[in-house]
Amino acid sequence: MENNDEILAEFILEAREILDLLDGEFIRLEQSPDDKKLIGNIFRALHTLKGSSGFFAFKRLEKISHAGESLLGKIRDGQISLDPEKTDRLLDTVDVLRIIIEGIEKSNSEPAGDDQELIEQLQALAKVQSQSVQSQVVQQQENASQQAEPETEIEVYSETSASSQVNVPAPASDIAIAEKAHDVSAPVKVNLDTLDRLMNLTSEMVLARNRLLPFANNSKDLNFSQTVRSIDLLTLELQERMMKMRMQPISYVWSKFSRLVRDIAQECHKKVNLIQIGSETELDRALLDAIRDPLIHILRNSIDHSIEIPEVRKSKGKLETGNIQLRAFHQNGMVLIEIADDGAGIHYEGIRQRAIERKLISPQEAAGLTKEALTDLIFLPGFSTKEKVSSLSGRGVGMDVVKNNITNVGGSIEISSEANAGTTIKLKIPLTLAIMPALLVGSESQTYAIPQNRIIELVRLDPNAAQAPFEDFYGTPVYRLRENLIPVLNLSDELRLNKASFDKANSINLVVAQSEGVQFGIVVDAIFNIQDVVVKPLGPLLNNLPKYAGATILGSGRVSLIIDVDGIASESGLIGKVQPNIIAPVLESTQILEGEMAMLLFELNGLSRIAAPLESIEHILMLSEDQFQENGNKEVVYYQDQLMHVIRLENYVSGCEVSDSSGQAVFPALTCHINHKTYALIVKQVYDIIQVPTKMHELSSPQRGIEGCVIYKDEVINVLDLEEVLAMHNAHDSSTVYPRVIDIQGVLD
Amino acid sequence: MEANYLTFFIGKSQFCIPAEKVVEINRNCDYTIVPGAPEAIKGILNLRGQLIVAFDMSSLLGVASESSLSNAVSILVKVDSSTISLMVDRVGDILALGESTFELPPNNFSLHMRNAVLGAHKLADSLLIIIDPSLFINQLTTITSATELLPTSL
Repeated sequence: MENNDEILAEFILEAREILDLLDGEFIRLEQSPDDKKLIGNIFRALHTLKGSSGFFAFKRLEKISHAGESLLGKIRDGQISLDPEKTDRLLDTVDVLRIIIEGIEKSNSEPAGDDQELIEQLQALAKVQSQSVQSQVVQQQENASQQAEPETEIEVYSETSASSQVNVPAPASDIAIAEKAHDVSAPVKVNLDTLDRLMNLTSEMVLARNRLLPFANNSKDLNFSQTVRSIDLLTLELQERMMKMRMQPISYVWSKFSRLVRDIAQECHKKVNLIQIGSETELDRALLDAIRDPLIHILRNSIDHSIEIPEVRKSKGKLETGNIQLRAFHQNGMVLIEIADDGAGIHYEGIRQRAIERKLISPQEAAGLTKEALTDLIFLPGFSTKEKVSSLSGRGVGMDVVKNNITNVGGSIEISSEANAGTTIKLKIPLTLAIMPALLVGSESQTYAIPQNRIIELVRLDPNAAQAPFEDFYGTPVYRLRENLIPVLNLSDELRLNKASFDKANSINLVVAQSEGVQFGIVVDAIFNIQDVVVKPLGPLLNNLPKYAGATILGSGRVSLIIDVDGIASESGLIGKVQPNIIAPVLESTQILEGEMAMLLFELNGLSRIAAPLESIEHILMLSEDQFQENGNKEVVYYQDQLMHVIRLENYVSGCEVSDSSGQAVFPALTCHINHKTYALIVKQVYDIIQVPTKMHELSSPQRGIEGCVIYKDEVINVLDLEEVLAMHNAHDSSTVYPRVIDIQGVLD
Repeated sequence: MEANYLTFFIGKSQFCIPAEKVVEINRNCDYTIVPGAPEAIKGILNLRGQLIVAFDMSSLLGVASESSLSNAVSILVKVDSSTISLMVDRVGDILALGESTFELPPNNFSLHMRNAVLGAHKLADSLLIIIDPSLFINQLTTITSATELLPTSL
């Protein structure tokens, strides 16, 4: 039969969706076997599939789904009850259906195969316990129909299914289901390529707008400026909507997990219950694909390693069924995914023993390792504590791959565990891959972008200093970064732009980056700014250049290459040459001792020492007086395509003197991003980043804008209460968003 | 049967490409160099938000460019599903040429140039060499996959 390709493609898409839905619904059904609505859903889905396969004359598909459907029909009518065996068979059915669908997708026709065994099993299950005469009749009818001619087959099917639909006990729920089904089918499916193209056009539109804006600013024609302004606003909205369109709920990936968990748990003879919270959290489509495998791996680990077998759990006083909780939510422009289980937790002694056995560390070193350091060992390639290699895990290929996958998309992974209470794994994933913050640097008059998440710090070296900036490690330049020697690369050398040497007269900018645990410096000619860039692939012709992660189009319309930090490191032989010192404590922990936190120390008028937690501050900027603009009754600054609300801290913090700042040319500003708004906190001077104890002393009498104080080098330093300041700022006028509307209302009153 | 060919110049030499492959011709040649890329690739340029790989035709064809005009014009060509840019000195006329004047390269034609030259048309006073971009794109993709096996640090 000649099948119209387009309709067939649609059918395959629909069938896949149905199968995904079925996987999840069967698991839910197993937990609440009496849920009539659920059975109704499954029945209907399978029925739809059967109907469509009939249309395309896919006989195999049709027969299997029919057999499954008739078993479900019995269950729905309460003639037989669902038990694990039936669920298994029904899931097998879904698997076979999936294989057939995949076959159809490949060859446009059904793959050959014999499903008689499965069909008979399904029929046998449907027969067992069925005492009603009517069902016997239906059964016979079905048996007869299997040998009958195709035309009559369809007729008989529709009869049986029609009669069983009449039997549905609760018509009210039926309507609800129908409505739900309608809702699901409403969205239009758009090809991802089409979206990408639209996205390209949108970003190009933004650039065209950027070129248009200066004309409008210089023009005296009011009409023209107004038109440009509305184009400006529309473009902005268009851009935002486009970004949102690429987002998909994480349930797109999670929906398959309930089935997966069930299968793994059965294989390990464990009982596991999967809880999913926040499945509506949205992520970029490309990222969803990137985190699927890591998540599956983590789930496998949790079930195989952490959750105990039911007997052990019982003896420990836990419920026989273990819980794994998946939780996703947004935080600080990142998506956090937590995978928490209530199993045995990480066996730290086991890791220690294993590390010694595998000669990764000496017994003396091992004894001194903290929990955190031991956790890091898990991420080493080829590390597994599982004694026996199973099909699920224990082959030692694992957590290192998981970590790599997560860091490749700019995320991070964190493990915490407590004996017998379980393990929690936290993944931090950026919202989107298509746009990322990058540092623009210059080398030999070219501009390059370095992904910000790979940069640890920037160092500016004074060429006039008495000491040479770099030391010679017998031929290899190295830099002494706070007692640590880090190798130094020159970007223009690495890219072979020319053979420039390090001894240049002008000052040297060093970008300290990290690749696979190795820290190194990249020398660049100039450091420009950090900006969100849209990442575009270089295409097949330039695919084999590992030094670039892609390219982006700058505001000027020029193309700029994005440097792949890992690529540069491995091309230069850094990663190959230097193995990360696994015993060395992780970077962050060298600076921050336990119980300490980093704070930014700054000065306000009349208050010489005040600090704010560093984690709440994004950037430090220098703003000049003419950058401040009025937005209604608020001061705002438009900086790098962002509208920032200006907060003059001295107006909100007690003990400050409100100064006359008109004489001052530039103000240091701390930017922070809270509740989707960006604020610029104006201060008098920024001093330093200090490490202070987390313990904060409360003030005897509460003071405006001050949360408490900390002790640093025997000095009392006030800590800014950012929340209170923001609350005070917003309380002045709760609707800062539309000040113009308020003005009009004021006139009307 | 006649087909249209767009002629272009590098230095004093004239070449042509099948006109049906040409998408557009422009003078905006603000390209970004890609260090480490094959020599024939001049860089990448931005065409309305699309990244386009620009080929240096003078290096590819081994013809010296007229220094004042070097890579002044970019001919955008559609090959398979992607668009590439050919950087040339200047473009000439569009000629309608029939099969009767077409000749394949001679048997002893240089192997290297077979990866760019489809054949030639016999004009009254000269031979007009026909360039086929899909030939050197294919060759380039095979080269690049081969270089992956070689040590990259030279």
